[in-house]
Amino acid sequence: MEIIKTEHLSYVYNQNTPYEKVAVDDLNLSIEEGEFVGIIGHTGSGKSTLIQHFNALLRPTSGKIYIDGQDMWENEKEIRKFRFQVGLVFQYPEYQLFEETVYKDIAFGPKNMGMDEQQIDRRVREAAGFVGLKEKHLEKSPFELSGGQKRRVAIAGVLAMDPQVLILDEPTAGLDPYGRDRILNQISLYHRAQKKTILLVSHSMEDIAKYCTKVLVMNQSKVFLYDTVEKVFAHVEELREIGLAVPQITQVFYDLKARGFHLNDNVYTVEKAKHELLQLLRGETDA
Amino acid sequence: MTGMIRAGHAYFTYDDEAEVIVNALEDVSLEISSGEFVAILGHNGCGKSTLAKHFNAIFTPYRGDVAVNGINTKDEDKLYDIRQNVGMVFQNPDNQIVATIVEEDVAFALENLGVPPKEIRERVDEALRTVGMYEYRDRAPHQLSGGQKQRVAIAGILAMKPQCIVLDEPTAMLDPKGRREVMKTIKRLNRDEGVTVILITHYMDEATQAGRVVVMDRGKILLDDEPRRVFSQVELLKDIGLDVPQSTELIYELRKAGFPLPQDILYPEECVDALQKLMEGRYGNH
Repeated sequence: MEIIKTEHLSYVYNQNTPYEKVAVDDLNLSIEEGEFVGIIGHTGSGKSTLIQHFNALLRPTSGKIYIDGQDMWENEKEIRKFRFQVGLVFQYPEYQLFEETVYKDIAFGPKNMGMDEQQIDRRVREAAGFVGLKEKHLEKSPFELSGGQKRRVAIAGVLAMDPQVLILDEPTAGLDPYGRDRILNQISLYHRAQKKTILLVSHSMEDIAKYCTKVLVMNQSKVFLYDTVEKVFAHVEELREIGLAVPQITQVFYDLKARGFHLNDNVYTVEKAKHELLQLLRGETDA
Repeated sequence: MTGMIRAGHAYFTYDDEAEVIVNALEDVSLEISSGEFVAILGHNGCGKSTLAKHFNAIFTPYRGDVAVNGINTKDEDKLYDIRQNVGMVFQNPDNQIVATIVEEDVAFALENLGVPPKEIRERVDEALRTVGMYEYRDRAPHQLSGGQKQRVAIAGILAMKPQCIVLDEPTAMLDPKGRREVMKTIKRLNRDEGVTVILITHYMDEATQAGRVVVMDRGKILLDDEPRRVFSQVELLKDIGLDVPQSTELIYELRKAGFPLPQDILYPEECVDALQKLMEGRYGNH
C-alpha cells in the first residue's frame, strides 16, 4: 500500500515574477508504506521543496498529493491532520527547542493534538526511549544538554506525535561520527520496531547505503532515480554525471570490475565488501 | 621553517559552578611551523575547538603558554598583532557575514583597522580573486550558496593578510559541492599563497588532504603524525568514536583476516591497486 503518492506535482517559487523558479516539475512518485527512503540531490535540486509538501507546509502550484490514499488538499479545513500524520524534522532542529524542560518540549506536539495527561505522558516516555534519552534527562532544561542530545530531544518531539511518516532533513549535519551513528541507529531501530515510513534527506551516500531500503535521487526539479539502494548505486556513471557520488567502497568495486575482476554488482558497505572479497579470495584458495 | 604557533603544556578549563572541574585542555604541547597544513580531528567535546581558540588569543591557558610568532597570547598589548596574524573562520557562514554586499563584508575588518581606502580596494579585490568570488563582489550575501558564503568569510580573513588561518569545521553545514569548493580554496591558499592552515573537521576525507593530522581526545593530543600513519590506527580511532576512510577500513579488515596487504592505504585508488595485486596473487600464495 502506498503511503505517499504524487500526481503531476509541480511547485513554482515567485510565480509570475521575474524571479520565477520551478522547484518541483511534474513529479509522479509513489512511496510504499514501511520503506526507509534516502533522499539525495544537490542544493537546489528540489528535495527540500518536495518534502515540505508532504506535511502541507507548501501547497502544490499544480498536481496532487495523496497521503495514505487521501487527497491532501481536497478539504483545506482538514489540512491540520496531515501535519500530525507526517512528522517533519528540520535541519538543526535543536534551535527550535524552547520549553523549560525536555519533558515539556517533547510533550508540546501531543498536547497540541488534544491528548489527555496520561496519553501525553506515555507518548513522551516512549518517544524519549526511541531516541535513547534517559529518565534523568526529562526534567533537565534542554539547554543543559550537548548538541547531539538536544537534537535527539527535537526528534523525540516529532516522534511523540506518532506520525505515520517521519521525514528528517539532514538530521546528522554538524555532528561528529559518534553522534551521527547514534542518531541513525536509533532511527533505524525505530523504523524496525514501528514499521513506519521514513524519509531521510542526506548528503552522505555511505549513511544512505547503510540504513535505507530505497533511494530517491532528485536532479533539476525531477526524480532522477527512485529504486532500491542496490539498483540506484549501480548507476555509478550517471550519478557522477549529475555531480553526485556513490559510496567510496562502491567506487572501489566499480574500478576493480573495470579492471576485469568478476565481482558482485551491489557492494555499498565495507561489511559487504569484506564478505564479498573473502568469499572470492578463500574460494580461490580452496580451488 | 619556524615555529609559527607553539603551545607548551597548556591547560584550560571552562568554569562550571556545580560540576567538578574538567580540563578542556590538559597538558597540550604542539608546534606548528609556518606553511604547514594541519588537520585537527576528534569527537565533539574533545577540546579541538578550545585549542583552536587559543591560537588567536580568544582563550588563554590557565597553566602553560601559547605563543604566536614568539608572542605570548597572554600579552594583552600584542592582542592585535596576534589576531591579525591568525584569522579564524567558523562553522556557520551566516553568523560571520555582517554587511549587505559581498565586497563591503570583505572590507569590514580593514575599515576597522583604519587601512587607507585605496589599499582596502586592492586588498579586497585580491582576496576575492583568491577565493574565486570576485565576480560576485556586488551581490548580496543571501543570494549566495553556503559554499560561496563560506568563501566570502575566508576572503574577509585573507584581506587582513594573516600568516595563518584557523578553520573550525568550515564545511559542516555545506553540501558536497560547497565542501569541495571550500576545500579547494583552502588547499590553494596553503600551496600557492603559503598561508599556514589549521583545519578542524569531522570529515576524514578532508583530513587525509592535510600534511599532518592531530587527533585529540579528552583534552589531550592522542596522535600527531602524517595522515597515512594516523589512519593506519584503525582500532584506536574507532575506539574514540572517529571514522576511517572506507578504503582504509576494508584493507584493515582483510589484513585482520590474514591477507598480506599494505597497512597504510588511504585513498580509493590505492585500495583498488592493492586489491588488484592481491587478487592476482602477487603477494604470494593466497
